[in-house]
Amino acid sequence: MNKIFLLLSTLLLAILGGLLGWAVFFTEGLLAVGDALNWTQFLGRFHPAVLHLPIGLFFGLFVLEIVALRQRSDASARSALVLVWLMAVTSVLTAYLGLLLASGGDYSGDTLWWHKCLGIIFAAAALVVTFFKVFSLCYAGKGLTLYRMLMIGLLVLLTFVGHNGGELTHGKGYLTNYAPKWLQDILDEPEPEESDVEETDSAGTEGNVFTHQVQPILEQYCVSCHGPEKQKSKYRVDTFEFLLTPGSIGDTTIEPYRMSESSLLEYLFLPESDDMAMPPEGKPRPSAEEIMIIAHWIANGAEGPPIDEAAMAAAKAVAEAEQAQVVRLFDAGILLLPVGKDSDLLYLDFQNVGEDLPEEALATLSFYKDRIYEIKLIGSDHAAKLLRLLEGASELRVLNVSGLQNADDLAEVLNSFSALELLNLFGSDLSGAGFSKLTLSNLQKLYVGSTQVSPEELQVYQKTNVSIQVFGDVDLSSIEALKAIDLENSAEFNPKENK
Amino acid sequence: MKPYDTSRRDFLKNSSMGFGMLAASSLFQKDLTAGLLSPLAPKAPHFAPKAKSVIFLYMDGGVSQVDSFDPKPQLAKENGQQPKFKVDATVFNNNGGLLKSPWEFKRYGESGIPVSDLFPHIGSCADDLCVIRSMTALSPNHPNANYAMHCGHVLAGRPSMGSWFSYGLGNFNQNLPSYVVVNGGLMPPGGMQTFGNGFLPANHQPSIVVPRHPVMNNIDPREPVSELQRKKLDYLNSIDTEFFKKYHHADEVETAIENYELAYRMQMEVPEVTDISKETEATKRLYGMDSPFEKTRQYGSQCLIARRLVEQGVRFVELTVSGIGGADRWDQHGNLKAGHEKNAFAVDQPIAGLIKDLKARGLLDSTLLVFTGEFGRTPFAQGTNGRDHNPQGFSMWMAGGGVKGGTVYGATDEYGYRAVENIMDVHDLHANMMHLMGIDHKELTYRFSGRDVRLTDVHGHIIPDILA
Repeated sequence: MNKIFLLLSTLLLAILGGLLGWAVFFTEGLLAVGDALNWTQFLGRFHPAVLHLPIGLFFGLFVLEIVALRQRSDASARSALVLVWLMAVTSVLTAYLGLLLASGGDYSGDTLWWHKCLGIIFAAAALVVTFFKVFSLCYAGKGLTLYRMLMIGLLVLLTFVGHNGGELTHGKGYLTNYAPKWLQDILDEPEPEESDVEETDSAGTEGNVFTHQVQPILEQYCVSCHGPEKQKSKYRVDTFEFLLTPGSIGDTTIEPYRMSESSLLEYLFLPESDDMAMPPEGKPRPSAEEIMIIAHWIANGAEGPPIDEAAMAAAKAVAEAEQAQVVRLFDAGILLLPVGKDSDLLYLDFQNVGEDLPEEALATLSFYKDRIYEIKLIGSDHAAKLLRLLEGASELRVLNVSGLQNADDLAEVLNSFSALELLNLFGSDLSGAGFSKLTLSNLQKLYVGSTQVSPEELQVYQKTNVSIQVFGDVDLSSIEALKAIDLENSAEFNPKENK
Repeated sequence: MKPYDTSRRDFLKNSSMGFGMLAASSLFQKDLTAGLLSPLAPKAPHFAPKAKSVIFLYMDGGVSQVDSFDPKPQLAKENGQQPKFKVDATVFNNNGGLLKSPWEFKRYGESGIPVSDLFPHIGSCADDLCVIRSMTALSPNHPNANYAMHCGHVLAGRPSMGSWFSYGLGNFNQNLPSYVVVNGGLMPPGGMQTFGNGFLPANHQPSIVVPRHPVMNNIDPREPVSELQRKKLDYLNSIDTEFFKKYHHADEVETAIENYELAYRMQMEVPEVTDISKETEATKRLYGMDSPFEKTRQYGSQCLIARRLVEQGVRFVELTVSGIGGADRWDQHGNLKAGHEKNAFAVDQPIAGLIKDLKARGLLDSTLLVFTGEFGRTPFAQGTNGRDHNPQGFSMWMAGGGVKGGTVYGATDEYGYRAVENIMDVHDLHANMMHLMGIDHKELTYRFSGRDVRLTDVHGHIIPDILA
C-alpha cells in the first residue's frame, strides 16, 4: 500500500515538475498558448494574488511541523501532508502565472531576473520537499532530517523571493525606506555608481530646475512603476531622455512649452478617482505645489539637465569621423547607410562601384562588419572579395548576390552568415552541388532562379529544408492556360491574330 | 524580419557614456549620411523600411471596380432597373439603370480573392495582392483626381509623390534619376503637372522615358568623342557657377548644374538599363512580349523597363497606359465591354509577369506595387452601355514591399457605389506608401509659402490591417 502511494505521489510530482520545466525552458510555447487564447496578461495579473497561497500554506506547514516535532504526534505530521501538497501545486501555479506576467514587458532589470530564478527554484524545491514528506510517511520517518533541512532552505528562499517580488511591485527600498538609519545601512545595497554621478554633477547642475526640483518629485512618486525596474504602459520618467520618449499610446510624456500636449500633466491633473489618474488610487500623490513645479517647468520649455561638454565633443568627433568615412565610401561608389535613422544597423550597396576598389574602403568596411544588416551586391566583380572580407558578419540578415560568380566555392563563406534570413542567388552560377552545401539555420527565403540548379534538385532541397521558402524559375506553363482566357476576351477586337 | 535587436531603450540603458552624452548628441548631426550633400544621394529613412522602391501602375481614366475587383451580384439581380439608392450628380448626368458586370468573377489562390475575367493573370497573383475596395477620390474630374492621386491635392502645382520620395530618400543609383515615368503614350488629363516636382527642388522632377528607341530625347550624345563633351560641360559649369555665385546662390541654378551632370552620367546608364533585348526569351514571354496584341507587347516592355530600373536602385517608377485603338484608356463612358477588355488585355499579363518576375528575383519584398486609377466608375449605366466617373468608392490594389498579401480591405455598399467600410482616401494611401518606404509622413516636410508642407497635408492614417 505504502509503495503504491509513494509511486503515485512520485508520478504526480514528476508531472508537476515536467510542467514546470516545460514552462521554464519553453516559455515561448507557454506564451504562444496564452496569446492564442488571449489570456496571457489576464491570467498573469493573478500572480500577485495567487502567490499568497503558497506563502500561507508554507507558513501553516512550518508551524504544524514544529508542533508535530514537539508533540511527536503522528496526526499533525499526517495533516501536514495535505498542506505540503497544496503548497507544491500552488507554487507551480504561481510560477506559471509569474512567467505570464513577466512576458508583458512592464517589468525588467536585475530584480526581475532574480525574482524569476528564485521563484522557479522555490517551486521546484517545493516539489522535492513534498516528495520527502511522502517518503518519510511511507517509510516510518526515514528521510525526515533531510525534509526538515529542506524546509529551512525553503524558508530562506521564500524570504528572498518574496522580498524581490515586493521590490518589483512597490519599488526598491520600499521596506527599508522608513527604517532606522542604522538598519538601513545594514540592509541597503551600496550603490556607488549613483552617488558618484550625483557628486560630479552637483558642480555643473547648480540651479538646474530639472535636476533639483522636477527629478526628485518624479523619483518619489513615479519612478517605482516607470523606471528601470518597471515600465508600466511602456513609460519611463527616471531621466530627461525617457521623458521625451513616447510610451505605449505613442504620445510623449512631456512636450516642452506645451502643457496641454504633455501627457504627464494630464495624468497628474486628473482627479484621484479617475481610472487614468496617476499615481493610481491608493499610492501617495504629489502635492498641488509639486505638480505646479512640474507644470511650470514644462511651460517654460522643460530645460533638461546640463550637458557634459567633454562627452559632447567626444561624441561629435566620433560622429563626424564616421560621416567622413561614409562620404569617402560614397565617392568610391559604395553606399553605406543606416537602415533607418533610429538604428545602428547598416545597409551596404555595391552597385555603383567601378573596377577599382580602394583598399582603404575595404578596411573601413571590415570595421563596420558586425553592424551590417543588408548587402546588395548585384553582379559586382568584387563580390567574392567582399564576401570573404565580411565572413562571419553576425548581424547580416539580407544578402542579395544575384549573378554571383563561383558561387559554389563561396558556399562556405555564405554559411558563415549565421543570422542570414534572405539569400538571393538568382542568376548566379550556383550548381546543384553548391546548392546542397547551403546550410543556414535562420534562412527564410532562398532565391535560386536562373542558376544551374535543376527543378528536381530544388525539390529535394525544399523537402529537407521545410522552413525555407525556395524560389526557382517562374513556371511558364501555368501562364498558357491563363492566356486562353485572355484571348477569348480579346476575340472581339483581335480576331484575326488569334486564329 | 525585424531589423532591431537592441531597442532604443536598451541602447540608452547600456550606453556606457551615460546621459550627458545623449543629451549632447541631440545637439549635433548624428545621421551617418549627413556628409552626403548631393541632392540625389541616398538618405537614411526615418525608420527601417520594408520597401526600397515603388512601381506605380497608373490606370489612367478609372477602372470600373464592379467589373474588376469588387463583385456585386446585386447588380445582376436588378440589372436594368432604376437605382433604389440616391444618386449624386455625375459628370455627364446621363444616368441609366443599374448595369451588371459583363464579366464573371472567379476566386483565385489560397486567399480566394475574387477577380473578374478581365484580369485572369493578375488573378493568378491573388495571394500577393492587398485589394482595397473602399478607396475614394477627392474629385470626380480627371485632372483634379489625377492631381489628388499623385500630389495629394486637387489643384495643380504641388509636388507629386515620386518627387517627395526622391526628396525624402534620394536614390541608390547615382547615374540614374530617382523618379522615372515610363510613358505608354497618353498624358493623363492635367498634363505634366500630374508628375511635377512642384515647389521641391527640380532634381526631384521625373524623367520621362518611352518604351522604344530612343527612350529619351538626346540620350545619344551628339559628339563622337566623350572627352569633347566633357570639356563643353566643364566650360558650361564654370559659367553657371559664376552666375550662381553672383545671383545669391539661387537653388534653381544649382539644380540646373546638377541636372546637367546627371544627364551626362545617364548617357551611359540609361540606354543600357532600358535595353530589354538582353532579356531571355522566357522572361519576355512572361511579360507577354509574344502577345498578338501590340499594346500588350508595349506595356510588357514598360513593365520590363520598370523592373530593370528598380533593380538598379531607382526609387519611384510610374507606368502610364497607352491609347487603346478605338477606346480611350480606362475612361469608358460608353462601350464598357469592348473598351475595358482592350485595356485589360494590354496590362493584365505584363503586370502579372512583373509580379512573378520580381518574386523569382527576390525583389518583390522590397518593391511596392500600386495599381490604381484616379477614381472608379458608376454601377449604373451612362447611356446604355457605359459607366460614368465614381469618386465615392472604388477598388485598387497594392502588392509586395511589406503589404499584407492575400487580403481584401474595406467594402462598398451592395451595389458598389459608395465606400461604406474602412473608407480610405488618397492621403491614407500616400501615408501608407511612405510608411512602407520608411518615411513618417508627418515628418517629411518642405518649407514653402511660410508653411512646412507635407504630401499628406494634415491628413493620412497608417492602416495596420494592410501592412504585413
